[in-house]
Amino acid sequence: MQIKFTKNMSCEDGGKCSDSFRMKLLDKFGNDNNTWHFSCHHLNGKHQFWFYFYEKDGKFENESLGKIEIVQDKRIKKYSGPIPTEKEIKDFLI
Amino acid sequence: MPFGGGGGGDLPNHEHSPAVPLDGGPLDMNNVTGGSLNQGSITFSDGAALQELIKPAVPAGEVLTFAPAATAPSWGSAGGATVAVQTVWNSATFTTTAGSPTNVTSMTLTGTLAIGNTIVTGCGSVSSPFGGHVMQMYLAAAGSQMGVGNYEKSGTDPLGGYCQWGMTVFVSSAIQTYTYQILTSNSISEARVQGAAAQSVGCNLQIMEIA
Repeated sequence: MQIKFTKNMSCEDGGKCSDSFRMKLLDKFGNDNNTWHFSCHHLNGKHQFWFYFYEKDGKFENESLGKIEIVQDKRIKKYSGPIPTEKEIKDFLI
Repeated sequence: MPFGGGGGGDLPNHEHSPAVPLDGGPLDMNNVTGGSLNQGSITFSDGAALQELIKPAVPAGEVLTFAPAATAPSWGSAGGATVAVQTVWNSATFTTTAGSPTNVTSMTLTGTLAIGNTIVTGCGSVSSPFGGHVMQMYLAAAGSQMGVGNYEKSGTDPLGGYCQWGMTVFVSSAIQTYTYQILTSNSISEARVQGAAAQSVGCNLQIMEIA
């Protein structure tokens, strides 16, 4: 399950910026990065976010060539919690 | 025909042979013997008589050449490869929490060299204040993988440093556009990162075309 959006914001340190998001997300969705992950492109003025909540065991999801790419990966486990909406993530994260 | 004159008998052919007395001697080609030639001309034989090859009207580096199946030399282009090089660079900070290789999106490098034989080289680095990052790169065109990139210093090494990659692919097809990353259908290279939080990705794509 992909949730993707952009946000008009800037940062000087992508690492610190990412960490601030990551800490919130770990609290919210758990610290098992084999059930979900998020990525961020820290472009000043236009941060782009990708969230993935894995829907099946063994299937890693990410974006490639503008489409969701599913790759076999035995480490991946289905995300068991309720999958949030884009609005819920935005309200919670930013 | 000996130039000495007189005497009888058969007259030998006039060959300017140095071995034959009174045969005119060897032609002195060093600024002595004259010929009905234009300045800059050279001569060749058509098998029956000497022919004149006139110099190019406006010399521009021509070289003497023999075209395939030709019977006479001619002036031609100096030839050799035409080399064009295009280098594009991009960098970004991309972060992911994924434990599996994840595409670095939103980065695009585009080159527009066109035809002939093309050498594409890519190199780049990923840096992270954390360990555990891996970088993988491959070249692709129209979304299809063309070659496999190098892996270097995966795992936890280097911690807080750089992970570098590089590769070269020889392409003989006439691919018109090369792009770095995955937002267009003509992506030629793709970087993936995985692991810890903050990773800065820099990529350099150099396209050298030999036509």
